[in-house]
Amino acid sequence: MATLLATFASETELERALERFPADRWPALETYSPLPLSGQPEQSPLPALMFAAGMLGFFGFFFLMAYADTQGYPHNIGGRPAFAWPAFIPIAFELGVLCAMVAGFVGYFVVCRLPKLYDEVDEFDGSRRGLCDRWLLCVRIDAAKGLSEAHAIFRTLNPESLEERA
Amino acid sequence: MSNASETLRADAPVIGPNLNLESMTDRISRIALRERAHAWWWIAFIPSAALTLLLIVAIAYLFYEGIGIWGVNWPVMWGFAILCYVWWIAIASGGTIISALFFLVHAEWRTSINRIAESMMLFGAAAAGIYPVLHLGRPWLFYWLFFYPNTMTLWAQFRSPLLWDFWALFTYVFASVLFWYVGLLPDLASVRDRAERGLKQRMYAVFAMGFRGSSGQWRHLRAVYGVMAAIMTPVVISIHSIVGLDFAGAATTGWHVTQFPPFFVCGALLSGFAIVLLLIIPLRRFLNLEDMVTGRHIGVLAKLLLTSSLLLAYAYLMDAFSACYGGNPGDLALLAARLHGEYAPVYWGAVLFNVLLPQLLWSRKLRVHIPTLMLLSLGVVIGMWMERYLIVVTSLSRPTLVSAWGVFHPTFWDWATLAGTVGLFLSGILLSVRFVPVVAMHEMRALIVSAQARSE
Amino acid sequence: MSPLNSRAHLWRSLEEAGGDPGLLARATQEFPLLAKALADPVSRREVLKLMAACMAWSGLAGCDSKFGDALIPPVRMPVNVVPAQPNFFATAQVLGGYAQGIVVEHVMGRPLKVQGNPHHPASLGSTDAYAQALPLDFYDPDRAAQVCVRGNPSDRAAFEAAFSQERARLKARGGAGLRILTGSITSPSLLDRIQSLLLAYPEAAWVGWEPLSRSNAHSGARQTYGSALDTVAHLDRADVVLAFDADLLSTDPGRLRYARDLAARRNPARAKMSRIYAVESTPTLLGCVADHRFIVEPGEVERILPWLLDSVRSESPTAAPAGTRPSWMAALIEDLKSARGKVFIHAGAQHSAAVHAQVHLMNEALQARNATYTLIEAQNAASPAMPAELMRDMHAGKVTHLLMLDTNPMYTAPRSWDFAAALKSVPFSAALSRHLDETAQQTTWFVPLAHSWECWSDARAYDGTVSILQPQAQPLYDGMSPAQLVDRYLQTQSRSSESIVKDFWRPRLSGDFAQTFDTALAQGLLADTGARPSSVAPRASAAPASDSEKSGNPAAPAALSLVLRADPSLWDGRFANNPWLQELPRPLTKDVWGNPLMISPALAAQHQLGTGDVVRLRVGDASVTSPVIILPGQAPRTITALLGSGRAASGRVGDQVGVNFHPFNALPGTVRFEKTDAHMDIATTVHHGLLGAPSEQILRHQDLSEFLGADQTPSAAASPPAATLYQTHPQGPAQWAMSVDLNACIGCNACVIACQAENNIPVVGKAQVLREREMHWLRIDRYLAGDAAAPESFFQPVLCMHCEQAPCENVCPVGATLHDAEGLNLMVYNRCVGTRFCSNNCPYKVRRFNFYAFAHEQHRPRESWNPEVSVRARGVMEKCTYCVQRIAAARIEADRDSKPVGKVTTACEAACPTQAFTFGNLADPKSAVLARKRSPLDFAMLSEEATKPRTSYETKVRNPNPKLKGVA
Repeated sequence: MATLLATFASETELERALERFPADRWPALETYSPLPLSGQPEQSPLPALMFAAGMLGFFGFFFLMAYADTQGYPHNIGGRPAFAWPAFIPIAFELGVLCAMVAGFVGYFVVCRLPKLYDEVDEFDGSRRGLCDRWLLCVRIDAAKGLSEAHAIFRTLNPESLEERA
Repeated sequence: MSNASETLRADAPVIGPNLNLESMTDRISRIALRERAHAWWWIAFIPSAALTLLLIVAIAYLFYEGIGIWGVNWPVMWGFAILCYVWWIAIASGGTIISALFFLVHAEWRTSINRIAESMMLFGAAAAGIYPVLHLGRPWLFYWLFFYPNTMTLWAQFRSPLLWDFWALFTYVFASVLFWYVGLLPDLASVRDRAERGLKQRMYAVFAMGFRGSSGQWRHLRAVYGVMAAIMTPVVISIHSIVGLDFAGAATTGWHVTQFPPFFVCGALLSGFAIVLLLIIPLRRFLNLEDMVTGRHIGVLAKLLLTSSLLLAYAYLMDAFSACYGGNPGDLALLAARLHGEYAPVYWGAVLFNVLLPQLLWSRKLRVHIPTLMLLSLGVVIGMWMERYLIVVTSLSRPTLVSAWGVFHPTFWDWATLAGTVGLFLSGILLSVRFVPVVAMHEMRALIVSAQARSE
Repeated sequence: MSPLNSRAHLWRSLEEAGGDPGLLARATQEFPLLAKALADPVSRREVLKLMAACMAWSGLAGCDSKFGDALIPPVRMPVNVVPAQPNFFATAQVLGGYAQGIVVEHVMGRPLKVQGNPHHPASLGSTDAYAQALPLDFYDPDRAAQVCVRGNPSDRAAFEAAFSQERARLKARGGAGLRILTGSITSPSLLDRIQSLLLAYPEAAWVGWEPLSRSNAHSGARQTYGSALDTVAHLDRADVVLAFDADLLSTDPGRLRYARDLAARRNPARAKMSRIYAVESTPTLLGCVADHRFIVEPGEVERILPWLLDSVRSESPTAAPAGTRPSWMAALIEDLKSARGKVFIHAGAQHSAAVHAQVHLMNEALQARNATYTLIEAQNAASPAMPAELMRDMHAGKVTHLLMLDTNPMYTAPRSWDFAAALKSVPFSAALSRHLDETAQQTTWFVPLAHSWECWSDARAYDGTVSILQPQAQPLYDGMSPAQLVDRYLQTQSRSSESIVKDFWRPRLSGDFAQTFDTALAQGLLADTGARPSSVAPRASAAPASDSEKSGNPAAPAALSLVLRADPSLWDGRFANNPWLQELPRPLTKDVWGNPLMISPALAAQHQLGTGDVVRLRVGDASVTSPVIILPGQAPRTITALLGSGRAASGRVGDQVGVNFHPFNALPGTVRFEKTDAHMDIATTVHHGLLGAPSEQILRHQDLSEFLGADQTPSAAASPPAATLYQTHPQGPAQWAMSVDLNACIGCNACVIACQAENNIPVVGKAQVLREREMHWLRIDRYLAGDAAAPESFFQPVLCMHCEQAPCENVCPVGATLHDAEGLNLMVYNRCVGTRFCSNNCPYKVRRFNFYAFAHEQHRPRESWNPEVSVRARGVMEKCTYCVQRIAAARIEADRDSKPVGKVTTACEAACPTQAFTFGNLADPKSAVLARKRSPLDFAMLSEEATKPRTSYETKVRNPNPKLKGVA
């Protein structure tokens, strides 16, 4: 059981390294980069979640207002109709938006399993520059044979630094 | 470190030539990690803090005595509280436009100034947010505007533009904070990684929530931030349109105008750009950001200032035109009072500062001439305040019923509260400059990387 | 002494009051000094804080057990007091000696609200502002409670002792040196006491003197008829009314009745319209409603009258010296003659005897007597002695004993009297008055006067009808009635005011006394005690001879003249300590808290004066500084000063407000007038100077000819409403609405105070009025049209319109204002958070806001608030509710008896002398309000706002003389 952390000077080097570590054989791979990786696929459940929350908020509050004015406490306000739907829209919109924002915010931390104040990668010195100017590749390996193979691969990639922790 | 006689070029690149990932990250983080603040910071902060204290005193006295301490009267029932609220919310909105709208259109000049714009949005909204509560005759009952189940099954009255405004403001402030924080996460992480062990590091670690730049964190962050930006843009338009509806929705002379919502948005843009200029011009010098905030940024903002002032000019024209076209005697009397009556100084002041002076920016040279820009922006800030004064106070002092015409005289406490909120805003900005990365580093990196790619 | 200390001191003494009898005296000792130390009436917060102190004091008086019966114990319900059921007791308000019948509404035994007495000829159910303000007068915490000797506290026993001593000495010498000074008196019982005193003390003398005197009118009648006569007009019978500086609607004893009768002929939709000519130097209420208002300098009336008289008498109008004859006279005379027998000519009481004499002759010549008016014996019996004689005797030291009953010469005496010096030469003087006022502080003895709600009395109305005044509550303070004091000269034992009044009437009433007397109390008057019209014919020698040379030398045009008038809010100053009246906007100038000199725009322009500039006014060697206010319609060279302000010892509210002009009364010498550099803010409720002509949208007005020309079809209000997006209409059993007749409104302000009294509307003080924060729910807007020199003026009462589509309602974020099923625009004070959006959105600006805790800081006695109406808190919006508490009472009654809700009368409607307001239920086809809304004159204010107001107005119609078109 060991973890390797290699640091590269550029995204291209990291991408080359990734090609050498196909995901099917190296399941416990993680990259750390100072800015989003360009080649990455974009899929994320969050936009859909935010849209759903927004819709829910909009219609939910619209019907709440409709209920309040027609059923809950029907007043004669300035001789206006009880179901004054145009007047309900601004608030419904604002609250729908609010729901979407909150959903996105909370959703992000759930999806990313944050907050996570400690991670084993923090132990490597190289990780300190992960959000500055280095692209990191972190490999977790259970078997000794895999470890030596990984070392072999890294040697060919000659990363700026390579650290290993048991 | 450049000197005052530096000449800016509007066609300069968005980042300086010798800027690389490490130096950029290093410089920005060091600003946040400084042990002791600069002298200029204290010089700016102490008076701001003093004004904030004044605000606290003013509020305490207000709650003790009642809003009689202000100049509001019959018929001018709305005074400084509302007009300053509108003024501040306009300033905040400008910040959101820069950070959200120009993010969506991938304007690269926005990158280095969006953090400052967002802080401005945050503390502008804070200064604005307290006013509606103070404005109430019985402020301790403000929560009656919420939807909440009570024993009398009473609900808020949803037809009131004031209630729309309450929720728009609530949403806007809340959403702004979330938007700002999400954009801030990676930079907090960067600072955390560069901080020495100790309290500071722990604080940044806590606020960074363990963001490490792993592929998943980046992917979801981009997704969320993109959608948030796409949402914030209509939100900022909506809050200002709804503020406009506070007035347009009323039957009052001078308010009952359909063009108010867009009119108010134009005003928001103008004052927003002006304040951003007022902030970045000194900050880029004090924080040595000349190679990140270049003449390009300033030139673009100057152009935007000019554009929005033209939009506002159109709104002014339409305002006068609709009064004449409508021919309502009340509206005409009000227009007369503004054009050549007792309110003429305020009206022409607003026209001068918001419309006429910004026309100087047609000149390419002046667009990057620091002193001119500072003065123009300051003028716009004052001019926008005058415009709010015109809308709120003068309209109310000239109701349709001539027997109810009145005059409004602000009191010391009106001014004290205004000064106090200015203090609150400045203190907020200064604190954020001191402890929060002033530039969005992870977005800057994209610029730097692409620049390097281009140079190779 | 700081207010806080004083309060602390008094509270302490209140705690100890039970144990230590001497403490009351000591407490009072503090009081006058305290009163001096306190009270800056200009700053509301001062006044109101200080009032707290007096509450403690009235508390003391209340707990004092020396009034015969104990107060009603709370554990046992007082007789015939039903909780939440008001009781009504008739009595009368006496001003200048003459009575107006009133009915006092009691809630749980407390007198709280005044209404007119429908049976009383001088009231017919309506009241004036003074009567409406009586409750605050009665609960006035500044009323004196203690007998004083030379300004220091004493007690009744000491006074009795000293008094009986003096009485013995006087008796011995037949009353030589005894003088009694009173105001004008019509009270039969008091007169009887005085007459019998004069019999018992032949050397004594009684002097009746009233600052707002009617003696000129009486001597005018003496010139013509040989005896003092009062005029009782029947204005409803007059087609043409000609008035010289009229006081018919302001200070005349019959003002309420006259207003009613006049209004009965002013709405062409209901009656043949009369025509009113007013000839005056300073605008009067009658002048404002007149069809023609001719502005003349005060002296000119004397010049005009002889010609007028001659022309009226002779067939051909006599030529007058060219240029001196006003252009309008020919047409006027023609109109008068053509209306022979249906004319009434009137001259204000302050005019000279000669003027009154000629007016009598003109009325006779036009056969108006017994047609439009009758003459009766003067009701306020003239005292044999004249004030001039009294002053002579006093200065000569012939007066040893001076008794002053409910009169305040130190404040009201003309400068020429030099009363202060005269009083010093009187060894024994006693004053009986309600406050420790200017006079009382100078006399040897001071005895508190019982308020008319604390004692028994009687008085006559303008037509002679007798009212019995009965007490309305246990005395708050240990006071005496005038009759009681006079009676002490005749009886060794002091009698109660009750026995004095009853003993007087017992022999004079036919039938079973108890029954007749009780009926009189219930009715508020003694049936048919009205004076019979006198038949005395004018004396042959009555023709005024001496007027020709008067007309020969017209007053030099350059000369200024100063005219003094009763204050429309404060009368002669006796109401100065009443905050409601101090803050009552004067009908014409709308100013409050002070009495600036009123000058014409021309004079202002000549001296470069603006409203609020302070001037120095000199008459002879007397001089005073006062701010001015510009009054359009004022004669160019005339300066009008209002009496009643500038009190030095009225109490905390009234002291040091304005200037006292009483000393200038009949002061000889030329009037001079210069500007100083000082400026003083005048608090007015019109915040932007002179108003322009009202637009059709606000106030409609037309000439009679236009009205007769137009089609008389019922107006829009009665016809089906215009199409609208919104179909929600209130669907209740009753639909409340109001109609206001602008032809009836004379701007007398009775409704304003009635509203304030009924609805617990706080007073805010001058400082807050200057900041435009007055609280009146019902205000009377005054508009002027035409040139500022001689404008046409309009009064328009403005109250909540109760719009069916109320703009205020749909902007309130918490639904604190909303509609009920009966069309009322409700204001839920408890729900209001104070966004004030409703006020911004109200086109009529009828909403008022509690910028401070106005009501709670006012510190009026708790027991004086109306328990039916909640007292509003700080930060809450308020407005006219159509007196919803009265509607609620009617609903409850209807539910109880399971019958449709009955007639509801709002406070303003009840008070209005001219019945300008009509309130009622539109759903009731027989309701008066529906009838009025069908009037062709009906219009809605600001109808363009599409608010569908439930309150509508009737167009103001004037009936000008076609021959006078374009003639000024």
